Amino acid sequence: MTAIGIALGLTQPFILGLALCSAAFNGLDRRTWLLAAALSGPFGLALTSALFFLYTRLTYPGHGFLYYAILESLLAAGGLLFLLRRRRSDNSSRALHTDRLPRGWVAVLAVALVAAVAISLGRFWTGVLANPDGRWDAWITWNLRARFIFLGGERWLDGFSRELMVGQTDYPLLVPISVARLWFYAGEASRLAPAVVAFLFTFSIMGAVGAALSAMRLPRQAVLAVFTLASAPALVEAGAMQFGDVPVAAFILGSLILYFVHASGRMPVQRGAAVLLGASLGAAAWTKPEGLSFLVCFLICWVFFEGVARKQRLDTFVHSSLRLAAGLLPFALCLVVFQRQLAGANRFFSDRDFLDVLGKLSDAERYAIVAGAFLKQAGLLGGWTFGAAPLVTVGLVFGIRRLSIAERKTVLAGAITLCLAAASYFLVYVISPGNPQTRMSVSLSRVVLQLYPALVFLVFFLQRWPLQPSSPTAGLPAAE
Amino acid sequence: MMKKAILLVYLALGLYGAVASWRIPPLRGLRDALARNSVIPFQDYSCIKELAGDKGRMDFLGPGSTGGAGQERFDFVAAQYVLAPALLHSGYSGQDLVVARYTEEEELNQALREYRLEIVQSCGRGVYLLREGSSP
Repeated sequence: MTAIGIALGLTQPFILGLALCSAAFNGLDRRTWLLAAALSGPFGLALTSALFFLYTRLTYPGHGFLYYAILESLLAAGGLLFLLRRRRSDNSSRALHTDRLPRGWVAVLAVALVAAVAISLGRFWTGVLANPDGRWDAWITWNLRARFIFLGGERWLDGFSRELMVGQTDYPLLVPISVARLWFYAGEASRLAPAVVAFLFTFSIMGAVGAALSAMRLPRQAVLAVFTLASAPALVEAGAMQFGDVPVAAFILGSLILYFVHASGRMPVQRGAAVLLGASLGAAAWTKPEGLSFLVCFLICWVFFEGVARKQRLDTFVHSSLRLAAGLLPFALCLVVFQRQLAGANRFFSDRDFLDVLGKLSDAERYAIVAGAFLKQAGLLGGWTFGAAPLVTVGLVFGIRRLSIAERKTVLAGAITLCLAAASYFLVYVISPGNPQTRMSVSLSRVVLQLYPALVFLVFFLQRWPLQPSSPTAGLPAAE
Repeated sequence: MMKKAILLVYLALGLYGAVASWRIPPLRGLRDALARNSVIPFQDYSCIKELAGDKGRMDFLGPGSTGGAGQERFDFVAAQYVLAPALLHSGYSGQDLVVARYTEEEELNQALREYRLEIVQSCGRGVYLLREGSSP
């Protein structure tokens, strides 16, 4: 019964996520279908968590979960009807059939991909068996809050009480609500639910990278990128530990992919992609404070690249910005309500003396400590036995392909956004209370992981395929 | 040719690295941690301090207590995770509650009598949720 309840609880977010993607992409064809399928899980959970939160705040403390489940079911039924009625003619089969490789290479890539994904599934499974409640952050923040939401009844807000003394009461609720929703559907606080949520986010990252690259580049490059993510242990292990950094990584990656869809001119769904992009940015902020920081970094780049560097007409920029804001709005609303009514103080910024922060900002030794740790972490990217060395080597050997002007600006905007996000993490460590080394020893690897899938996507989007037969653009899907 | 060879090496290294780094970690279930622990208070109340001082069977793991690091902190969090929401569901705020483990019923009864505690909930495996009682 528990598994059936959890399956039911997952079906509705998937339908809603898929319907949202279909609406944004103006129907789903071959090129958008895979991407929509990969994004529908995270988007669906984000949507339902926002809906659940707003419903609870509006009806608190009167109504129970049953009414919410009815509302969600009605929405999902509407979404399903929408999906069934809205089919777009497939006009992209030509683009997907131009990727021809020698049979030998197809076999090699297929075997490598299947083996890497099988290993990552095994790694996730053994990780969950060994850590049935996840690890530290999962207990003290995500699942603890989920237990309050599910078990606390009318007193679930006590989960934000200072009496609990541990965990981050200022962390938003996407993950706790996603877990608690499944518990409501299952009827018990099963250990399966948080593991399923973690699984969905972890493997949707691989799916999204694969789908996006096969739509915008070549399927063979998508295979290599998914192979890279699946064979490196860091992402899968963090997923199995139920760390909130994996959902943030999924939404940061989703934002970057959707920005590329919107701005690179490689897919014909720019308008709708801006709405989804806003939703992805909002969902990142609704997951963890680092997501909010990424949102700010992204908006800076958006204004500069879309508003200035691309030399668009002002009304075009305003329209796409409004679409982005429309996707962002529900999550911004949740965040405002959460911050005003529930969230506790942020440990980095509350009760801080300005002079103390200024002193830390002007302390060169702190910069040196943090920079040293960041460099070390960059060398270990992905957690491979060989660190980041193979990825860097392959990137250097294979080189960068020729880019169109629109693509150059898009790639630059994406790269700068990731650098700004990394810089914001860097500064937070510099001004953090106490010794930054202590704080980084327990969190830096996870924080860097948030940007890792987006970085892998960027590297493989840029990379020239090593077995390219003739020109660098041969076999690429046509820009539309 | 060179690039083809590098691609093959990349795939081989990736698979080797994936297998080589696959370690199966030891079991770290929270309930197991809770079962190993003896007593975990939610707050550092005076009666509990006294109990610990007299009996030496209680560990103080909350803020302002003698514990607070390593395994002890782990267990404190474990107790909060497993029990706190259930307690709140029962109508208790948590600030006057103690989680205790007594393997012998006689020990439990003695503690209840001497320190005016009463059982709020039995959590299994000798773990009890206690609070300050109103009568001796």
